[in-house]
Amino acid sequence: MRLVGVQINNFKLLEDVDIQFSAESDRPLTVIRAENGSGKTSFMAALLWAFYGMEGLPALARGLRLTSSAAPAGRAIDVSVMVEFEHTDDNDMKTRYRLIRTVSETPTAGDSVNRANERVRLLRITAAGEEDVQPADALISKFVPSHLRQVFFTNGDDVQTFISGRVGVQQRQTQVHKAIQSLLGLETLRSASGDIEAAFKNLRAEAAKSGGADVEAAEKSLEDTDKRIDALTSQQGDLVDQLANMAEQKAAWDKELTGLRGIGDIDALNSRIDTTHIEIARLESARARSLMRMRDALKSEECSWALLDEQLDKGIGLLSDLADRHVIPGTSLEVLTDRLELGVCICGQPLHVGSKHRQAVEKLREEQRRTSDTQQRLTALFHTARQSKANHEARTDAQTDFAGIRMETLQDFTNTRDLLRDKGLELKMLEERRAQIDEERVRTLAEQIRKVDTQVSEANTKLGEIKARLDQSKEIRQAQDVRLHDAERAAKLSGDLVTKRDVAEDLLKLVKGTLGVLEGDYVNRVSERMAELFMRIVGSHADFEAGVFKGVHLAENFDIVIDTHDGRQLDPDFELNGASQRALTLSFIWALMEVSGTTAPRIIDSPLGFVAGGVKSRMIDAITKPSSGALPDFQVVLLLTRSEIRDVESLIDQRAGHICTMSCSKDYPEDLVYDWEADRPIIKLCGCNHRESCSVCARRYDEQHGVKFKDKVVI
Amino acid sequence: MNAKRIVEVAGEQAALIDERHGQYRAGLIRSLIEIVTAQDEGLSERGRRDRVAKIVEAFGSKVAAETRTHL
Repeated sequence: MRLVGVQINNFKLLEDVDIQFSAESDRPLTVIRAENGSGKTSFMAALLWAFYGMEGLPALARGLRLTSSAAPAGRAIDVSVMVEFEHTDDNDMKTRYRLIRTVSETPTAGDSVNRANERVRLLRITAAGEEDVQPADALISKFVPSHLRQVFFTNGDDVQTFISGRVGVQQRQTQVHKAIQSLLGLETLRSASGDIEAAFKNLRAEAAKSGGADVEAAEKSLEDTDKRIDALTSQQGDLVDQLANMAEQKAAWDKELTGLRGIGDIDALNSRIDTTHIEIARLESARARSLMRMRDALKSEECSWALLDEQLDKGIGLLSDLADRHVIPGTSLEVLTDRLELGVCICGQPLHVGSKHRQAVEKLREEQRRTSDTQQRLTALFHTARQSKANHEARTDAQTDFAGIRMETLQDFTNTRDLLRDKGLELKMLEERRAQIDEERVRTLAEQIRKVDTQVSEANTKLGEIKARLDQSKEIRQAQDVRLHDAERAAKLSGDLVTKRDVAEDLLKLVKGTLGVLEGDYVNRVSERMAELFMRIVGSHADFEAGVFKGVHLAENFDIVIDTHDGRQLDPDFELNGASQRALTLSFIWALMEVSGTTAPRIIDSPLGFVAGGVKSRMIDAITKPSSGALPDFQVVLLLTRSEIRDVESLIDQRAGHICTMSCSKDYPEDLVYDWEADRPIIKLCGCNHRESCSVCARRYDEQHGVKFKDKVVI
Repeated sequence: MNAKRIVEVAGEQAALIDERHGQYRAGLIRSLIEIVTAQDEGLSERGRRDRVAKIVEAFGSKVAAETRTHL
């Protein structure tokens, strides 16, 4: 199928837009240049709506209006999209069709709408005129199957989801598998194979019936065994699917659980919290003991010595000085009294009563008597202090040294305090982590994983049993087949019926052989072509060891696998950049279309987001290169912004058979240069190519993109 | 998959089947294409099986007649 043109009326802001597509096989590209908000998405939606109705639109958009949100409430507006396309049948006969989908939409006061009279018509255009094709949807579905619309109509932003891990491995494999099955005709051939097999069995039964009771009985046994084999094969297939689903479900749960356990295992966390509480209690006791030791030390004699030692030494020094000067001890009073009683002075002179000498000694004794109390106290203090000091010095060692005790207890206290602070922080952190864990979810996940493990084990056991029964049934069938042939040889069967049966058997062999080649050889061709395109676009070489990609391939389970030089396989979602993801998706779509010989259009909105430099030009080169050799012609429509076009202008010059530009009035005056004087936002189309602009599409930054103003067009 | 590719592959596969008479293999391929086309005609499963049975029967009858002629 090849698009010829599309006429869109009143779809969103596309009030009256008529776009033609390139029909040149050596220039298969059509470029619709449009900036953000200039109708690219609406254009894609209009096409999807035309082909598939509301079902073709994204689920969230189905309830929204098709008309412009600026359309007044209460007035019915006719929305229509007319697509003209050509289809070439298997005999190379081209037929032109016109698809017209219309609906009358009346916006209400709110944002909702009333829709009426949705109609779809498919007209076959012949030399004699137009004729209705009924039912239209059935033929459309044959040309561009709805389940493959992601292949034909690709949104650049969603392009990754076709293959990415975001959609889940199983879903991704299913999408790839479905596309392959559909475009390689595997579904059709499988269905055909089933129908031929049914016809063959009927003919086999009829032929057997014509040969008498023995042959009929032998055929009946064979038929019963065939049914049993079919049932067992079906059960085997179901179990394999179930196992794949369980494996995927388990992987998702494992991932979630690992994520939660990344925060911490709940049981391990609880245990650590308990241990930390115990350690904190132990440290608090140790801190209390340290404080007690400090208090005891402050009350001790050693503390007094430490505090007073210096002052005491000074005091003892002063007292020693007094002693040295014989001020203390105050022994002169007793000596003078003694001398007065003896009547002889210490110098030997007599101390007669009344003598001057005696009077002088008496006066001296009197002076001594007046100061003796203080001398006595000082003397006592001197002796006590010296004794105490001597005693203190005699017993001072490492254990009783106050400075040592002080240092030790302080160190103990500081260490304990620091450990307590650390443990407190650790406890807080552990409790915060525990708070983040949904304990119930962890337990549920662990339980679900345990259950699914059991189910997988049971399913594997069952699968083994089925396989054994299947092998046994196949052996029985072989023997029954021999018996049937023996019985046939012994009896006389209807020649015509035998011929018909054998012809049916040959047809069955043919369809199964064809299916086998397509499932094997052709799927491999898709895989190889995808790898070739991908490696070319991303600029990698399988034999360049220092590169990242060694290749890509389709695995047996239809997963798209990216191989690296170091023997790893990359996750397409997390380990592949946006440009490579786009390259991979487009490579797969292109390879599949080429190998299957599909000529449906490939329409891509904004394919070059995240893509720049060499990858950008190689991507455009790969997806717009005209077909050669046995490859079927194709058509590609790219909706590109000016930024996406930058650096690939020359390729577009070579490959594009038609280029036009869409612009939206709302962009004036910020981006658009000219005012269209529209009273509501509308989108207009002009024939400007990627190198030129006019008074409809001229934008203020055109010069940056090398776009030249063409002429002033009357709007 | 367009029918051309199926014919292409089926042609290779048909070479493995005994040629009962001059145009037998070509007839097999034609019948297969008819059967494949019937898959896209929007018939019910019963209707489709009947249609395929008729195609097989018709080709079988033709081959039986050819076989009788050659005997």
